[in-house]
Amino acid sequence: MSNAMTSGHRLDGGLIDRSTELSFRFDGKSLEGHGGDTLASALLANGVRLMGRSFKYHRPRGVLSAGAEEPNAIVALREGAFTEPNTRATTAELFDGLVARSQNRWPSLGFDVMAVNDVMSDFLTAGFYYKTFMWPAKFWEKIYEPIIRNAAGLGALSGISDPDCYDKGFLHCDLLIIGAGPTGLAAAMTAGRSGARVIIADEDFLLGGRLNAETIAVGDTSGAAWAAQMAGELASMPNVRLMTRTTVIGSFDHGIYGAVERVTDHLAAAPEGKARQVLWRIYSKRAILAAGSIERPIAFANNDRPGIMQAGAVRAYTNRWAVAAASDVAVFTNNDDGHRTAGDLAAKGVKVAAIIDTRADAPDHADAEVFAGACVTDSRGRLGLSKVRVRFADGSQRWIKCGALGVSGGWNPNVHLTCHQRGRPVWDETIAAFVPGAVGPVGLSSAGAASGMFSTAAALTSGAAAAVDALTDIGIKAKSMIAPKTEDAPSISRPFGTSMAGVGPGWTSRMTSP
Amino acid sequence: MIIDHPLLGPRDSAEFTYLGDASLIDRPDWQDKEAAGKFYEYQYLRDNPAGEHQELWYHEAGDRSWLVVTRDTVTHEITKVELARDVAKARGRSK
Amino acid sequence: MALMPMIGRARLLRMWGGIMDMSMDGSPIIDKTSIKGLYFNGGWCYGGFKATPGSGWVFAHLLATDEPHGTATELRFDRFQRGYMIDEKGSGAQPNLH
Repeated sequence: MSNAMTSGHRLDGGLIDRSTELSFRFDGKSLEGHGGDTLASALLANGVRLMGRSFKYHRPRGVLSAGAEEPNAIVALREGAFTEPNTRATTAELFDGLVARSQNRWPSLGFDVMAVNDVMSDFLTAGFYYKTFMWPAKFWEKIYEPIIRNAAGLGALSGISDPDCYDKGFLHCDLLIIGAGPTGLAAAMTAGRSGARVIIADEDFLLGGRLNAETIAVGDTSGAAWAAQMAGELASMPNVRLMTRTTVIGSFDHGIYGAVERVTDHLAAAPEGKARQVLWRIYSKRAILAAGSIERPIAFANNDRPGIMQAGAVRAYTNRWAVAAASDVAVFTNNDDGHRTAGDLAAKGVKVAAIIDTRADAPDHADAEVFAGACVTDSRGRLGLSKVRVRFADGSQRWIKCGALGVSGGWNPNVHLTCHQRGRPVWDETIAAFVPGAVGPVGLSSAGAASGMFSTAAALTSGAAAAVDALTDIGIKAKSMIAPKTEDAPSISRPFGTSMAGVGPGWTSRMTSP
Repeated sequence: MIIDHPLLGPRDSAEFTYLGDASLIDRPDWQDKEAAGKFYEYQYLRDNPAGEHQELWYHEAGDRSWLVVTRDTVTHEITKVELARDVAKARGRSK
Repeated sequence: MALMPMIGRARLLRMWGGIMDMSMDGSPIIDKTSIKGLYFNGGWCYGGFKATPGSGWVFAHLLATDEPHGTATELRFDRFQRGYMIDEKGSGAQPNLH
């Protein structure tokens, strides 16, 4: 169990390429990572938990997620004219020679003078500026405004002209598939085999979506291996275009989608004349939203310390990037999904301090002690989580030591693109989340977690079915690909938004920002 | 937005320039006794519906033809695209 | 990007759009209507925040005295009929060009 940690916080396995050693610098400190790492995973692997400061109160913050929804680990990437402020460390691919600086702190991330705002927070409530900075009048231009301008904002541009060039392109297809997780891959395989012109786009550099972050088996291989297999077969089809590092940004009239492809952002330097990013206009006859879902946090006092993450992110770092968030990790959950984090951690030899489950009828777990009907009410560890306070079912409270806390409050389908063009999501009581509504962009359907179906089996079957439906609509015959057997757990999520006992007023602005 | 040109097929709206309400086809007779009032209505009064609307589009980056497009201003669904010349002739105008 | 090349490194946080009330000459209309007690202030096209103090001031005058303020006497509905358009861009009776 103890030899699971190979170096620092690194674990065995993962989808990283250990044969490539990459050097990078964060706030001037030289660190090492591997191919396939993101900046966030490499920092965690080096034991760096403090990655940023909150916008207004300058509270110490660490990485919360493993994806594009990251609100805390916002850094300035690169130097000089190539400086890219406000870059999420979770989506920045690590390359040799990468340089990153934390933002919104002075003089340093560990000691930030502006954190005085946090101490003064009772006087700096929302709107405090409406009756301040008015007297004497002449102080405004010379004193107040310069100070406020300097204190405001997160990152800063270099002020030097951007040396990169950018490009635009037009693409046409019968079916656009947004997202290449299990749902998107099943849809793309179904559509690709029918001969239709298919474009499948994913914002990640590796196809597979959550399959790469989980230890779920698909058929007789791991989810990640199955995804790689599918990607390989899709790449060999001449009628299918795979677009990685490509975010579909908007659903416009008449089946036109905007997409941004990051062509060279993962390289130390762009090859001569190559565009850094391309804005694609994709003209589709039909489109399927297979964008998955984002995990919700649970609110409690001081739920924003470095080390407090989404439970799914803890799994992603454990399974995909072979990084332990800490040497002892606790889980706070209101559903079965959170328990998977404990299992995955224990399988890699990481100690699970406790599973704090809000449900009175929470199931037991083989690898960790489960406290049913309990909730987390506070945390300690300003520059890095050290312990959480738990209120048990009998009302008693106790501190539990842990360096990281994986929080699972359920999952929210990524309905964003269905809300374009006057689309409105509808509330689904059974999963306590919004799902795409009946009205939305014409020609756009959704499948898998994006439509509220969270099991892997449902992802595969709904993705294939959505492809068949979409193609039938435009007169192309297609047959659902046969989905290999995989987990089909129902999602049981009882809404538990906050554990607000014992919290003073003025708390609400501290959820994830400022 | 895609406009299905009757002669050239579906085209991106970027190839076109928008003029306005297709009622501009019905230019009053300048020698009419009530010309002043009729021109005021022709020029400045519009129904501006939230729904089906007939409008003039000029295919500037294409064949430079004028089209009358029937488009729902709320959903942007285009239900009909005709050559403006055909619409004008159907309304009894000479061209 | 052509005007400010450094902006290429910045991240677009959000953008939003809406419906603009365009008038036939690009200038607003601040006037009483044919219905007694009903007053109109609109058609500001893209003109916005900067004009609001002045717009509010002259509109208040109109509401209080039932007569237009001295600086806003031309912003009437019937200016189109009388031929007194205030077309700053000179683009004619085409709302989308104002």
